[in-house]
This record gives sequence, structure tokens and C-alpha cells, in this order.
Amino acid sequence: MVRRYLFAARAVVAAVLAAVLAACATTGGPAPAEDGPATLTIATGFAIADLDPLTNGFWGPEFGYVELLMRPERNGEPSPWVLAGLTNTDPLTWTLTLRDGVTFQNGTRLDGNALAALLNFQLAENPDLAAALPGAVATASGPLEVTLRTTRPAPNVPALLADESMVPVYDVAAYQAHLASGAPASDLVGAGLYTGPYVVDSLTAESMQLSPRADHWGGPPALRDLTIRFVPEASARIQAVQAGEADIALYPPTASAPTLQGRADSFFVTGEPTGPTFVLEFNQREAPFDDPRVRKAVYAGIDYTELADDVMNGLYRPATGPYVETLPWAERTQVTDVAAAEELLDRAGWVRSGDGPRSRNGTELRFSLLTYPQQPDSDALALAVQAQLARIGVGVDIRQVPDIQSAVAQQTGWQASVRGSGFISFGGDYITPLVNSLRSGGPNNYTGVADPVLDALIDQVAVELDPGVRDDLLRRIQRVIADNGYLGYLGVRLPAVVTGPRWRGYEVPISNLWVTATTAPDATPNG
Amino acid sequence: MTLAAAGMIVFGMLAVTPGDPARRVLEARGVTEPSPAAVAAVRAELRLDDPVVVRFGRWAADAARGDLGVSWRTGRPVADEFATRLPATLRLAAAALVLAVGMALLLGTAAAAAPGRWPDVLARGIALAMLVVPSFVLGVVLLDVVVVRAGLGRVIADGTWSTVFLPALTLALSSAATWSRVLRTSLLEAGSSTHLLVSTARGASRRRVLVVHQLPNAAPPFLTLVGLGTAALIGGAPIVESVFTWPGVGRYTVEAINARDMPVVVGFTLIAVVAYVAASLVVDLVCAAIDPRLRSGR
Repeated sequence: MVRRYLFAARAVVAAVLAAVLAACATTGGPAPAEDGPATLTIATGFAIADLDPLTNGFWGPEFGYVELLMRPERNGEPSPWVLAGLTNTDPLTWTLTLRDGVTFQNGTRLDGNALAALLNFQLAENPDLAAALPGAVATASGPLEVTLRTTRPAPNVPALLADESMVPVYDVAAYQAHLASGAPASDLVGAGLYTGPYVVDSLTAESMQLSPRADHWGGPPALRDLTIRFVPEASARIQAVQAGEADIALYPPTASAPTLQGRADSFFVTGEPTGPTFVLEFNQREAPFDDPRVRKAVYAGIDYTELADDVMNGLYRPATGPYVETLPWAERTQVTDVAAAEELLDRAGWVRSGDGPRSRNGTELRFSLLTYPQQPDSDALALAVQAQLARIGVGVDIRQVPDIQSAVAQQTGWQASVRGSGFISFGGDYITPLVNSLRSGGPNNYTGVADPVLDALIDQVAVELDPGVRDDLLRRIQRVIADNGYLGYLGVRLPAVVTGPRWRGYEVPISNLWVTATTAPDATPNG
Repeated sequence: MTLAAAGMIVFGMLAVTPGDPARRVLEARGVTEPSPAAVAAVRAELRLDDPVVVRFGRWAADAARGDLGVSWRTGRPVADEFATRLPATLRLAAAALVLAVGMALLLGTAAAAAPGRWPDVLARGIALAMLVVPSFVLGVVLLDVVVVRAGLGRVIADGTWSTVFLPALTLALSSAATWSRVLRTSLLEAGSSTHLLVSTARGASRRRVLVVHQLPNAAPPFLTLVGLGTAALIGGAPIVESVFTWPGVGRYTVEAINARDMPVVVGFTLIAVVAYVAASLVVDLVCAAIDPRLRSGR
């Protein structure tokens, strides 16, 4: 018996030793210095494969190594960034004026010729830019000036130049030389293609390491070291912040916010939204949503304040229409009005006795609502909508699909969906979403909207350069949308990150521009 | 034949999976709302509009030459992607294997040494607990308790030996539970052999009887399980690698599945099949070496 226990004791000792091995592993990283420039480690859910400007250039503005010609702003009017000015000299001509002293990280100067080459190359290689500005041509008209000529009035040029997926600023000549050499994309690390305040020193499948650029046109940036770590699991990103291995975790799920309350090692920090998040869309080709009265009734029967404050725990704002109210043309077209909803349904012939479901000619008023697992909030919102619509006698069956985009792209087979879809681009482009989603025959017009009045308004606003006239047209468009129940949003999700104690004052930026030259702890990062 | 059939099955399943692979690839690259033009461009780039039979034929011909194609998501050769990540997976598998075998031996022999008494009950209870808790739950809890609260270890593993313990432990637990149960049963069966009476009569201690006489006879079924389980470990531990951000093949394959990155998924299938076939062969050889009855075919 003694030997048996000795045997067991040795086993216990071995287990303890093994646990000690875990303690020997380095925990977190070095504590940041209290004085002097800070370091920043960001944990993000997406990996950056390489620095190719055509396929992965859009990541650059988010992490400070790429800049844009214009900077998106919350009022919908982009401001100059690498440009010093952008002027619409006539309906078909834009003059772009560069800042003096801007150089690529390889030392080459960004002048008029380089900028014209960049714009023409992007127009040729970027299908989205080419679709937005068909036939446009850029020519250098001065040492620091480029003239962009379009084939039709293009009021969204500032927004396109502020969109990270359209025109990232890079050295086209050097990139073309790289392409001609046949070298792999990994060689672009160290090529110095970009103008950003941070330079990519290394890029692996696990992380990106950047260092500040002392000769940046805006002066030395605020951080002395920047690390981006690619961590696909949201819980792991948050735990990395809690363990001190990261300062900021991007894309935290909404459901994680309550779990962080009361903690001193991590904080759920929210920012200002630039647009509503989840669209509630109806397939107008199928009953009951072939009837505009039913569409309008459903939108009116939803309590948007309850969705934002109670269902999403204050991490959403109530949706008031397709645009947030900070935009000058936003109209409050989505209003909860249960009495109006019931009257619309009564007029449509969907009647109810008592508190039961509504029916017409023996058919119950009921529809299926699609959600998808990639956006867990879609399920929460759908459940709440189901409960709210039950109060006005409308039945909802919730069905989760693995690929909602494919589901709604079908003309038949679905009735309604909750889908993450913005109505304004990263750069503030309001035209392309209207054309794609609501104009007859638009490539993203999944709901089957076909309204000549709306089409005419969209065609007008697509070429309207006067801001005042534009705002009026957009307001009229919103009213047509609301009057016909073409589209509605369920809520405006507040953009959020999880930070450690030192970055608790981090201001969540617009359009995912997480790091700029001024990003620093306890300071406004995007001034 | 096995490889060809496995590749065909997985390729076919992916081809009929709902959703547009081009859109999924763009979303995996970070383009959250890909435009129709961008989707069309990727479809053309990946030749997705070719008939599935043509696509499979093209892939199979390349695979026969050792070319697993190019990742649709990253644009890099699949073979290179796996080669980069395989060392980390092998490291994790090796560490998990050592822990699992060690724990299985400990629990199995302790249970078999005192059948029906408290060591046996305790060992079986521990094994049951290890088996019922899902690995992703265990992983998240371990990270929270051990790393975040106790300050031991690291959340973001770097694929090296210094950060392998927690993911290896998480990976090892369910295997150790199953193996310990099989080992206990095998030891008890071997313990009923009459030749053990002779060794006891000749003065062998209980420990010597257990380790020298019972264990080798109980080894074949245990080793068979260990061998096949090793193949499962080498094939990647997707959940554990994802939870611990372990830069191995399993985590990479999960990302590829989400992105409908067909060349990677099918390539992973081939690796997994090769691992199982190789592991089965090694197990057969080891068992034959240990048990002469298997060598002579008796």
C-alpha cells in the first residue's frame, strides 16, 4: 500500500511540475513606458495577406501605413488628406492639388505625374472605381496638380477618393516594376510603396510589425512601435487585452459588452456610428410583401427604441431611416406607430378578432424572416421583431441560413431578411448604394423595387453637384422609400472596440481608420 | 485510391455547398460588402464558372504532380501554406500526445490496480469529466483562469514550445479519457491470465506484475487507439488551434472552410488521409514488435 501511494505521489509531483512549465512561458509583453512615445498592439480578426495595393491595399489606411487622397468625415463631406485641395471646376472636371513635400516611403516624391499615373492605373485595374467613374481620365496639370475629367457629372468624387477600397495612395511606377519582375507579393514588404506615417517592417501570417517614419510629411507620428496581431477568435482578442498582450481588440461582439462591466483590465469602448446597420428588407415579388400597405405596416409596427435600448442593451441607437441624423440630408422616416400599422393592415384586408393573428380569406398573415450566423445580432433582432409584430397580429417564422447573400439574391423562395448592409460607403458615397440597391435592375436590388419616380430621382441625384439641391433630392428619395415601404433599418450599431486601461480614452474612429499619425493613448487619435 | 476518393468527395461536397465562393473569398479577405464587379472579377480569376468536373480534373492533374494549387484567399501555394504551419501542428500534436499517453497510463493503471475501489472510481470520474467538457469551452475557461486571472502562460500562442502547454493540455484531455478507459479494460482482461499466478508465486510484486506482465499484454488495443488518435492530432485540432490562436494547420483550415477556399480544404483532406494511413501502418508495426503472436499470425 505504501508503494502504491508513493507511485501516486510521484504522479502528482509530475503534474505539478508540468503546470509550472506553463508559468515559465512569457506572459504578455513588456509594460509600456509611462513617458515618451507609446507603443500600441492591436488584435484584429482579419489577417493581412500581403501589401499588394490592388488586392489588399484597403487594409493600409486602417493601420497607418497607407493614406488616402481625402479623409471621410461624419458630416458626409470628406476633407483633404494627402491632397491640399479638391475643386470641382466644372461639371465634368475636378482639380486635385497635392500637398507639397509628400513622399513615398521609398523616398520618391508624390507629384502631379505620379498622382495622375495612380488615378489612371486604379481606373484601369479597380472594377469598382471604373464602374463609378466610367471613362474618366486623369492628367497632370502642374507639379502638384492633377485634372480629373469625367464623362458625366460625378458628385461622389470626394467620397470615392475617401474610400479605402478605391484609391489608396501608392507608388504606381514602383508597383508596376514589381509586377514586371515577377517577384512574389511578399517582396512588397520593404518596397516603400506607400506614404503613410508607419512603415511595415515585417508581415507574417500571425502579425504585422510597423515602425514610425520620421520623415513623414506631417512630422513624426505619435507611436514608437505598432504591432498588429491577427487573432480570428473574438474571445481570444478580448482575453489578449485582459492579459496585457494587446492594447485594443477590434470587432468585439455586442454580446461581450455586459461581460466586461466592472472589470479594470478591459473596457468596451463605443464610438459614433456613420450609418444604420441591419436592413429589414422584403421581397416584393412574393406575398404578403407585394402589398405596400403590409410593408409599411410592418415598419410602423416595430418599436425601434425598444430594439436599441432593451434588446441590444443600449449598444445600438434607434434607426430613424436609411441615414444617421448627423448627415445634413437625413430625414426621420421610420417612426413607430402601432395604430397606423393596424389601420394599414385593416385596410389591406388583414383582420383579426381580439388578440389573435390576422387573416384574410382564411389565410393567416405570416412570413418567414431570414437571419444568418455570421451576424449573431441578426438573430437577437429577429426574435424581438417577432415578438413586437405578434402584438399587431403578424406572425413571423425565423429561419437561419448559412449564406444570406445567396438566399436574397434569388428572386423567389424568401420573404424577408435581416441583413447587415450599409447605405453609405466608407468614404461617404451615397450614390452607389442607391443605384445598386434601389434603382430598377440594380445589381443589389434584391427586393425587386421598380419605381420610375424613384429611378428618376436617383438618376438626378447621381449627377447633382449642388449640395443644396442634392440634399433636397435625397430627402425626396427617403420619403418615396418610406411612402412605399421599400426599405427600413432595424438599428444603428455603435462601433466598438475593447481596450486595456491605458487606451480607455481611445476615440473609435470613422470608417475603421484605427491608426493615424496622431493616434496615441489618452489623446484624440484622428485629429 | 483512398486519396483519390477522399479528394473527390470533399471537392464535390464543396462544389454543391450553398453560397458563392467568390463572395466568401472576398469576405475572408476583409471586403465586408463586395460589389458585384468585385465578385465577378474573383469568379473570373478563380475560373469558378467552369464545370465542376473540369475544375476537379484540373486540380487532380496538378495534385498528381504535387501541386495542390493556390489558396484562393491568400494567393500563395497551398503546399507552402501547409509547410509553413505544419511544424507548429506537429509540435502541438507531440506535446498533446505525451500528455495524453501520460495521463492515460496514470489513470488507466491506477484504475486497474484497484478495481472497484476508490482509485478506480476516482479515475473513472476524472476521465468522464475530461470527456464531457467540450474542448472549446475548456480552452476558453483555461485561458480565463490560468492566463488572464492567474497571469500564467499566454493567450496568443506563437507556435513555439514555450506556449504549447495549455493548448496541448486542452487537446490531450479527451484522448486521455478515452485511452485510459480502454487501457483499464485491457489491463483487467490481461490480469485474469493464469500466467500471472506463476509470476506472483515466484515473488513478483503487484507493481511488477502490473507493469512487466500485464501492461505489455494489454498494449495492443491501447496502442491502436493511440496511433489512430495521433493521426487525429496531426490532422489538426481546429477548435483548439482556433481558441488558442495556435498557428497550425487546423486553424488555417477552419479559416479556409469559412472562406470556401477549396484548394486548401481539399489539400487538408489529403494530408489528413495520409496521416491516418501512415499512423495505421506504424501502429501495426509497433504492435507486431510488442506482441509476438501478431508476428507469427497466431
